[in-house]
Amino acid sequence: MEKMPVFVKVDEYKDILSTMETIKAKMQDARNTIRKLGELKNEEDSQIQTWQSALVEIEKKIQFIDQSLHEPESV
Amino acid sequence: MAKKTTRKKVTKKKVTKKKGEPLYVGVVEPETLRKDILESVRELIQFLQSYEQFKKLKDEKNRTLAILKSDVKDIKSEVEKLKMYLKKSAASLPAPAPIKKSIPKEIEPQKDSFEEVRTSPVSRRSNELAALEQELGEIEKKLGTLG
Repeated sequence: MEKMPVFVKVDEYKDILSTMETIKAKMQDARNTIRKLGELKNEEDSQIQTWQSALVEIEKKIQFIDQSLHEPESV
Repeated sequence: MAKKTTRKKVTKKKVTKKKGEPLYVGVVEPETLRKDILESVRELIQFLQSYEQFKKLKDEKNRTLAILKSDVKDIKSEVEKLKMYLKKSAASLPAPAPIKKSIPKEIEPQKDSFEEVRTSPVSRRSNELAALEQELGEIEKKLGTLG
């Protein structure tokens, strides 16, 4: 079967072009949003690192307290 | 015998554009275009499906963060208890003469840092932050006196 050529009405063609512009603008918005999400994730990761370091410091102090309480200088 | 010359009949259609007749634009490579459109739609649907998965991850992350917050609060509470116990024990030892401090009446009694305040979530969060900041300031002052 021969492939029939496809034609689109001019009015619809104009709508199609307008829709394409909208799609391109939305794609740009989505790109910006994904970039912002990446930045937020990096901030979150940085905060989690800070928590990890803080927990290590607190653990050291608690260990010291624990040690001190289990090995009193004098009774 | 005379040759019969036959001519192909070429009928020229006179195309007369009628008023109001719509114009058409030819689409180049319609099959490829249709395939691209369908594939784009498929990928967008997959994107939305993966967003649902992401939402689940986000919810789990928020639940885990809430557990972490609760754990940190518990640790803080236990350390403060420890502080109180050690304070009491230190009080039983001979201590230097207490320094009399006059407490001005205007100062309001210190609120518990984690007192539930019936306000909107945003203002509740800022109240909590303000209380934590105040507490931090007092602890740093005490640490400063230790040297």
